[in-house]
Amino acid sequence: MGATVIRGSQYYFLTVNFCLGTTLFVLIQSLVQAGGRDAWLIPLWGGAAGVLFALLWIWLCRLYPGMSLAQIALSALGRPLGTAVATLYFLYFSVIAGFVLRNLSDFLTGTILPRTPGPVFHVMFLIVASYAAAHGVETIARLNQLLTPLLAFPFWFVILLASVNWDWTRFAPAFRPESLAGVFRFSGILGFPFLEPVALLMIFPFVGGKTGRALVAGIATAAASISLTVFAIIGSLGVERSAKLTYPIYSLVQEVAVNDVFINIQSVISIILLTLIFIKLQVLYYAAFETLRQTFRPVKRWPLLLGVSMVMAGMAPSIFENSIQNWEWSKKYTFIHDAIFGLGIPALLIAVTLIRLAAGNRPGAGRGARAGGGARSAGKGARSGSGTRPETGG
Amino acid sequence: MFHLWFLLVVGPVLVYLAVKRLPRDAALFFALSVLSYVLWYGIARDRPFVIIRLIEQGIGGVMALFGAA
Repeated sequence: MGATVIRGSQYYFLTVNFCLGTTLFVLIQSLVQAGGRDAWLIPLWGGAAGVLFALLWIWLCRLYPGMSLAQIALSALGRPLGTAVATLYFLYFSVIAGFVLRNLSDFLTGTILPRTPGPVFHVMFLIVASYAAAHGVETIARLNQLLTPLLAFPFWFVILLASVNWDWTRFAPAFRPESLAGVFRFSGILGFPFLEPVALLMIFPFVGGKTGRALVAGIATAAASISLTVFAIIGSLGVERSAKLTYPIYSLVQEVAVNDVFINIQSVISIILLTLIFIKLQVLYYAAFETLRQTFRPVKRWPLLLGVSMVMAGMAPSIFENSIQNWEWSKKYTFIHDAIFGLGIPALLIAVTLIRLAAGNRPGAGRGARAGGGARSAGKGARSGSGTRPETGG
Repeated sequence: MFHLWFLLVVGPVLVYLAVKRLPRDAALFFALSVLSYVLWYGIARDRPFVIIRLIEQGIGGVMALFGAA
């Protein structure tokens, strides 16, 4: 059976949509509160830092061509420690998936379906995500590629329609020292969303072509898109209103009415945002599932899919109690928590690898490498495209 | 009632994996089941474990250990 390889362009779109995911829902109010009129600068400097993080991840993946993050941990650290690190990554991906699901159900119960219990949304989305994960990375990448034009064009068209209330004076006075200080103090943007793409390293070895360039370009495009969206919201709603609205983008679009032709177009933006969130959930689900599968190498995949779904469905209602607690967390701990997994562990893996190379001990030659070879196993996983080792990597 | 529902979901899978003699699969599924039991038990009692509070305590503990808190 040949190796499953997705194209660089598919990986690029996956990166863009993963970074946008819940960001357009959750982060805009916090960005406007922190940066005021200059809030649109925050995603730009965050994106620049995100590109630097991506370069670190690319360096790590090039030290281990054709290996995913879980396999790299096993190869670099050996079986016992590598298993512990891989398990930590599974928990990390599950926690982010919990956040994603909770943000989704909070939005739906707050706007469209107020009487439906949150776990109903969680379970429904997890069933679809597990189905996609069972079909492998190729299915996820193709679905995302198919959906991207259907998301991007209506999104920017709706934002353009919403700019009828545009007022340039809402940006004045710009670049004042106190607001610029707020812009650069907002460190949470580094964690969410620009350290979370570490989950995409589980897909990295399946990509053919210029993988690193696709990852970097995807992060840069996402940063520019978030910045443009914040710019449009400030120009259309103003700082005072945007800072008070829970979902500024939804409120912005809710007010659009062009004669009697375009009315109630907030449903369009809701579907776009829900689809973006689903793509992020799908990648996280796949990353969590593959981390366990490559680490523990079970024979059957469906019990693992069921187990991962049960854990994630339990994470979502348990992740935080209320939005104030979530806001406090974002302010104080998001960067630290994401930095452990997005910067700390990858840097540790690079350091261990370089030390072992300097000592003449090629990582991956011992027990850990054999243990990490789960992704190469044949069988159903290989047929579905999630169980093969790609020929090209790095 | 919660325990019964949980057992109905998890039990047959564990029995199936035991009958098929797949100990590694069974151990992995059992570990995930225990984790999800802990999470769902809190939800069923209407007092869920707040995960971000646990992580906050963990980070706070590490920072205190290194004298940064």
